[in-house]
Amino acid sequence: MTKTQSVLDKDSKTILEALGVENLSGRDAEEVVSAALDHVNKVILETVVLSLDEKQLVDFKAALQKETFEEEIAAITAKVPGLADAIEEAVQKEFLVLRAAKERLDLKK
Amino acid sequence: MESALRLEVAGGESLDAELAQAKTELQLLEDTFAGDPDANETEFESQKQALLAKIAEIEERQKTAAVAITPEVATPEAPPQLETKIVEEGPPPPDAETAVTEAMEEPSAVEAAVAAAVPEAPPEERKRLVKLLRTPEAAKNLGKKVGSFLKSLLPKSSWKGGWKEILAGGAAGAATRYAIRAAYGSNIWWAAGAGAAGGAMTGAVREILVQRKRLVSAADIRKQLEETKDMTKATLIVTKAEEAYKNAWISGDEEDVRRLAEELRTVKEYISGEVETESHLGEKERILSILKHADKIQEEIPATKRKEVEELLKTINFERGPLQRRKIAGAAMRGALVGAVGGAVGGALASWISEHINIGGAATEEVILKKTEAATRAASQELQQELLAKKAEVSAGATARAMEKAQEELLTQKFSAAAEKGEGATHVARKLIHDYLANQNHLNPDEFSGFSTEQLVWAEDALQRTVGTPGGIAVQPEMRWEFTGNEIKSILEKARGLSEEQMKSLSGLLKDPAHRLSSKTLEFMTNWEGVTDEANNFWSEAREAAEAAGRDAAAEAQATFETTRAAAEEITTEKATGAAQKAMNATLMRVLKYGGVAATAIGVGVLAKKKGSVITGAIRERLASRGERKGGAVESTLGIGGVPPPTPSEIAPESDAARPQDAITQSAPAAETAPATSPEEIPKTSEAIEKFEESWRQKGVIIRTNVSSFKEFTDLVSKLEKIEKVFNKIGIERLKSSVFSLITEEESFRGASGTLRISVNQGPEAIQKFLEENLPSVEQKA
Repeated sequence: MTKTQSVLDKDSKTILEALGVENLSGRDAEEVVSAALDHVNKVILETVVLSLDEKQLVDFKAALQKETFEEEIAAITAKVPGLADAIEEAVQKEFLVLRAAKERLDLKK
Repeated sequence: MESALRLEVAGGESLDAELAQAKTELQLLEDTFAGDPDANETEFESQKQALLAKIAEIEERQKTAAVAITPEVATPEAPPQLETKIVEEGPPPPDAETAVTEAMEEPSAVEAAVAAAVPEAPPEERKRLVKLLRTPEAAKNLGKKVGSFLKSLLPKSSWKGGWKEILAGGAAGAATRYAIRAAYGSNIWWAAGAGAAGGAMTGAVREILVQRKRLVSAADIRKQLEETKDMTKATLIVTKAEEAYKNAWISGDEEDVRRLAEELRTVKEYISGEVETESHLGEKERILSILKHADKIQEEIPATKRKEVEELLKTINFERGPLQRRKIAGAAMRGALVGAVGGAVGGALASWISEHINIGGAATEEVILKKTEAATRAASQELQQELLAKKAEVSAGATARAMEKAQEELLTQKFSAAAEKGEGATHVARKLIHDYLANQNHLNPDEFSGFSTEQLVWAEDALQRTVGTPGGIAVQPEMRWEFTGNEIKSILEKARGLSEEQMKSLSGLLKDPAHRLSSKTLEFMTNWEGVTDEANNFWSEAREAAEAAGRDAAAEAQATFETTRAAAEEITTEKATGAAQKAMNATLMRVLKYGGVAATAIGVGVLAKKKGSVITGAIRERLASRGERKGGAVESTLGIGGVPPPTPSEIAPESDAARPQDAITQSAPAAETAPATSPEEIPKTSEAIEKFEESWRQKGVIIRTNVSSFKEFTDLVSKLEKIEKVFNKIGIERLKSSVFSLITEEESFRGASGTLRISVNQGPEAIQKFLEENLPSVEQKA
């Protein structure tokens, strides 16, 4: 399963596994998934915004001000070459870094 | 359980790293190839295939590893069985074709596909091609073909190398595959056209990936580390530093590797004493702490210097709440995935254009070849004439200059003569003058050519007085007299200046029997072919030197000619390519105008990637090897009426090359046993082919003949003449909706999209039978 898909689906199990905290459950798990999703969303947004050209950037800013921002943003990002793969790569890398950092701490415990 | 989990994770990461490295190598290879015009394409393809195979193998290992472990310990990288199942179920539902057709209606999709397929074509050419491809009929047909093209790839590709090849990089990643899989059976195709533009722009995709990689910089890692006293943050920094180091190691940049290794060592040493500070935290707290610091690091280390981008990110990340952020990111992701689907379409479209609208087709190449041959022949003949004139001029000039020099030297040469028994001073003087004039005759025949007997007699007399008087010594046999050329010439010049009266007087004197000269004496005096004494022969050496100078000059002229001819060939080849280009465009226009033409029938057009030097190089090579090669394509295509013969107005002014374009030839495999064509045969064959094709064209039938020898041509003509009778029986009109290929190889009949391939070897009867049986269905298809 792609990381993008897990984020889109808010797939708790996959996200916890990706972070190496699959033993968490209940409220703890929800808290971690929520924080992780928010962080990964920032990563996704950074990837998206960095991939936009000047015009798309202007359109993106304008879209944010509209009620139908979701449709407008989707229409903009659909035209960015290779963006889906760029997001996937960025998200995957971020999960790996987070997991590696956590394991480093685990080892030092 | 935990140790087992770690083991699997480690294994998965190792495969990830291997996969990443292989992908990086592939990317580097492609970048290197794209940036190097002299790169060896065969070698590149071989390396690329090896890397693709390696990637596929690693992905396979990942799958196996994922299947082997239990669901509880499955790593996120393990693709679920469902994915594979969908892929292996077969082609996507039919609505894919409709979606592709809709995608084709997006102007930018076709523009991008054309730009990707023919990147070097001039903008106006691309614009024209886009216009042609976007006519409703052409778009519909192309949409169908691209849809079928995508469908045909699905069952056999299994998401491995095939997709990477066909979908041209940008649309080949995991997310795209996911998007395409998700799209089948859903209505996600709605915006495929938008992404099709992106997918076609593989160059842009690559650039984005390259740019993003450049953002990974660890230059200020240590600085960041020194500023933080926070263990978790430091740990994240270390991880990033390790990643940067790993990337630098893979990229092979020695300077980066050295610098990043130093950074990493410093970082590791720095954090070693700080571990205990946060080690008391539980698992949840640790990961939350890491996430919190990851947010901070993202904020503190901007990935861009573009102010407006930075501000936009701040707006989203700090002024909007998590829910809004999630909606924005979700929308962006959905758009990106839809774009990826369209990207696949665009990639396929570009790939299809690249594959099928191909200047490298045999017909096109043949046109260019013929045009080039003709142009080169004409240029060579013209140049040859120029060369002859030039060589003669240069050679004569060089010889004349050498002769002039020899004449000058003659003045200082010493002429000698001796009296034989019974001879006096006059005989000696006669010999000296004779030998001087003989030299002059060979070096500059015009100089004394009009000299009269009277003048010669006067000169002899003047000289004999000089000979006879020195010291009052009487002329004795064996005694030699010596005069310089200048001395003799002075006397001759004086003789040249004799007055009319003096001449008359001398003339009268010579008529006097006492002074009359015998015919033998007269012959000797006026015949200046040889010398009386070889010691007085100065012209032979001088002439040889002058002729050598002429030869050298001619050789130089020849060399100049060769250079000029090469340049002319280059120019004419370029011109021929240009003319063929225009002709191909004209053909494409007609093909698109009439629509319904099979993909293979569009085998001409514009394709910049094989244009220019590549084309001219190939043609030159073919020209060079034409007389030597064995076998070759022996194929003739009859385009009958489906695409009518071009009218004069349809052919561009310089497009003689347009003439045979209406029908398309695909090269048949070379027959090793076919006879070679000698260089002498080429013009003969070429002329015969032209006559033959013209005779058919007048009947409204376009024939393209591609043979490699005159014998092959005559064999083919003989077979076609028999088949012509069959065609006449059936009636040309009935055949006008199809394109017929006649080939000399054994091949079973097959009809597809209005194209019938008929083996000439099967004989007229078999062809007639086949046509009678199949023509209605073929007409229907067409």
